[in-house]
Amino acid sequence: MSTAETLLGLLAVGARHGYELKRAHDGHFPQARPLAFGQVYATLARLVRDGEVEVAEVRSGAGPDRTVYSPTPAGLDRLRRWLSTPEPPSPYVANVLMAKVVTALVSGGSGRDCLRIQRAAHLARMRELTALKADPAGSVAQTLSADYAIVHLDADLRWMDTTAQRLGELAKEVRS
Amino acid sequence: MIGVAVRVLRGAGRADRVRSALLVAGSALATGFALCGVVVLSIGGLDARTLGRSCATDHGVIVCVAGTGQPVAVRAYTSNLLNEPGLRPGVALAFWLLLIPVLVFLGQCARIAAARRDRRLAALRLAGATPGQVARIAATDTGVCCALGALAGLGGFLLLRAAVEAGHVAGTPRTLPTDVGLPVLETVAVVAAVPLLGVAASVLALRRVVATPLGLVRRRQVTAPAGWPAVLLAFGVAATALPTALLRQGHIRTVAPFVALVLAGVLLSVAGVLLSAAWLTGRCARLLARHTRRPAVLLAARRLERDPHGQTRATSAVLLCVLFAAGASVMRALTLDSVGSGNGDFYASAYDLVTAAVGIALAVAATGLVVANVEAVVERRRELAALVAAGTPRGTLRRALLAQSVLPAVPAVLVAALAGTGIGVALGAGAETGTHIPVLRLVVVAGVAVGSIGLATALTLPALNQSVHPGELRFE
Amino acid sequence: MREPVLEARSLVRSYGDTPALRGVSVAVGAGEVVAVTGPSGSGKSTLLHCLAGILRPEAGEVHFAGTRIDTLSEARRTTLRRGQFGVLFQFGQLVPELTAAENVALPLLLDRHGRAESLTAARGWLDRFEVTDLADRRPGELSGGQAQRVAMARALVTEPQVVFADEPTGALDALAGERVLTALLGVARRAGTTVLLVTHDTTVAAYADREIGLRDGAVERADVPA
Repeated sequence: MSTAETLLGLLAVGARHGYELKRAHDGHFPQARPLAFGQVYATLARLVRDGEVEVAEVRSGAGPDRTVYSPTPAGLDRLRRWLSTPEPPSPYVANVLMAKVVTALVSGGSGRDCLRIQRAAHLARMRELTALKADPAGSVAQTLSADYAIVHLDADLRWMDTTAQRLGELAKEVRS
Repeated sequence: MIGVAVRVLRGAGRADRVRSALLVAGSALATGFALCGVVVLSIGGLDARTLGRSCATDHGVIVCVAGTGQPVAVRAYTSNLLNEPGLRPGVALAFWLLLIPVLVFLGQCARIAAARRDRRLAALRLAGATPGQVARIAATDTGVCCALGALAGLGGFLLLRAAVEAGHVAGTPRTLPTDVGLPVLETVAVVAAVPLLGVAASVLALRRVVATPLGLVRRRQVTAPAGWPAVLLAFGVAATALPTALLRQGHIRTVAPFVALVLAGVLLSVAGVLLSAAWLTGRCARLLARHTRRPAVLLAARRLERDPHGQTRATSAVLLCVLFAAGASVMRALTLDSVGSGNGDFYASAYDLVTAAVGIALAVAATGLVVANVEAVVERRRELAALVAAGTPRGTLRRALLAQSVLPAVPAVLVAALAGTGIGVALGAGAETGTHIPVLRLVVVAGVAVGSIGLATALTLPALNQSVHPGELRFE
Repeated sequence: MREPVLEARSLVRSYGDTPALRGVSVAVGAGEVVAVTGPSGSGKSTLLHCLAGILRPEAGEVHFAGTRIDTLSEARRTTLRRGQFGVLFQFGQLVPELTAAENVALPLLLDRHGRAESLTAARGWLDRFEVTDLADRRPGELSGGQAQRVAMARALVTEPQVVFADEPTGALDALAGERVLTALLGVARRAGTTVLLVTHDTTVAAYADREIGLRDGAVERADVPA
């Protein structure tokens, strides 16, 4: 879902070859499932096909040849758009949010903007749901499902608030 | 245990330090009054009656030839209250009666900062201290202050006594019995009794905390007190008439039972005054609250209606002073009427002495009232700050505070003055003259009392301004 | 945005050496419901106190309906708070000795209205918040939610232009809080009353039209006014 953008983010700070990309990805997202080599190369191939990544050089050495990739302006643009677009506010988007925040930090951003726009999107959705509850014509069942969505959105929002306060530490860790 | 108590004290805020200082001062004063009584009773010398009536007149140093023909020097004082052995128990009694307002003051001090100290002690309780330990810590805290006060009182008494004695010119009559040594046993008893009374008061004031470790101090639902305190009051006043009657009929021959009966009657009357004042306060407050349109009066009246005992408790020491002053005024008038002009000056000066003592007690009581008022304001600071935030003028809150203490003071002082008058009449029932009540003097007594209550409250108002700080409205 | 009814310009305020507000500017339009959010110590309550004329800022200006109010005398600000503003706190704002109706009538009595008239108006407001039968109870005999309803009646009895609510549901459980907020905002929106809602709780902030987020005494994010 967000592997392409994550790899673009990792490439944004310098050209790397596939194996380095896999190592960097697994290091930044220790909780996520490790990327399979096949997935890395398939994703890179797709990005190359779409003109968002290009082959910078091919190193030949003792082992197999290593292809080094770097992002094109179109790729960097896609990355920027991804980072500045909020995820559709539904519960359980925390994993994608985390990918965004870390990727933003890796690619030289602060991550704060990601959180800000996401918070606004979440809060807007929460307002809609809250208004739905206040509607006197609404059914109890409707209120219950709105309640459910609200408390889950609230969990995301709390995570965002806490993350916003931990951004400094996270930046140190990511850039070390 | 003392170590913990000291730490509890040291962690104390300003109110706690004020409370400690007042406890020390109050117990010093109590010790002083008690020792005065002790000294008066230990004046030795020869009973004037055994020497013949003529010797016991007001001639300063008297040299008498008794039946043996030997010259006997009778130690003498400028005041015949001290020269007449028959009057000395009365003088001692007067000093000891002065102990009552001072002890009430001590009890009041023990309650000061109660809410905050309650919370701290409750924290100790949550930290695992047993109820007994908490009670002991609180008691030690008060006991240490009172013991310090008692020792300070003894020291001050001895110093003053030495100073007065040093100024005495040999051969002239003394103003005060500074030549009489302090009896060791009685002195030790007094110095030991004062801290014990203080501890008893604090244990009484803190029994609620010991019961609720969470420190959840819900304001007690106080129902309007019933009318029976009035009966108690009447009974008490009547009881003070009993010893005089018994004395006259010859049923009592010694001083002790007379004093005991008078004390019992006075104590009953005191309880009656305090309870009836609360009852009257509750009634008047309810009536006012239902009809007033003035916010300050409404606030004051509802507070009084809710806890009529609280205000009486705060002013109880003042009310006691009124009771004594009124009683003394009536007895003064009766005595002056009955002795005629010859000895009038002597008795007048004796009663002036009593008035002065009551004046000191009143000053003490008013000081206690200031502190109690400040504490009451500080305890309400959140509510007051919220009221100001909602647009209640500070002037309204000030007027409410004044009304809260002056409105109930008027009926309460009246009850106390009437009871005092009743006791005076009862005690002086032996006088043959008609019952001439010194109305003007009584009005002055009541006026001074109400005035001092008003003044004490006025002195509280700066605390109100500090307490309504918006910082009280923050929750973070 | 509509003409702002309440505006703060570069407010600075500190407690001792601790800065609470360092240059906060906000504007609130008439009839808007705005949530002021932020973590503990971000200056939310201080901002509310300055806007409501309870606290004077050390620097900056507060304007209400075209008048600068931070320089007014305490007496003028008190009158303003009583008539044009309503305040609602987390708890402890009712006088424990007064009945619910008397608590609500208090601002009217302070404005020298008659006793009967004030109490009748108070009962009307208690009725609107569905606590009519509690009119003669004391605050100590009310549940948290009931007490907040009485407090809301008191805040609105003078029909103010702005209501300042500082964590009004902070002492309530979720459902009681929801009902209190729904009641407050229902009345406020119908009457076109501006509401400033200070809260650290996002589910509460979701009742507002927009959010002003504070952090370390400065505006961190402010939604564009609708």
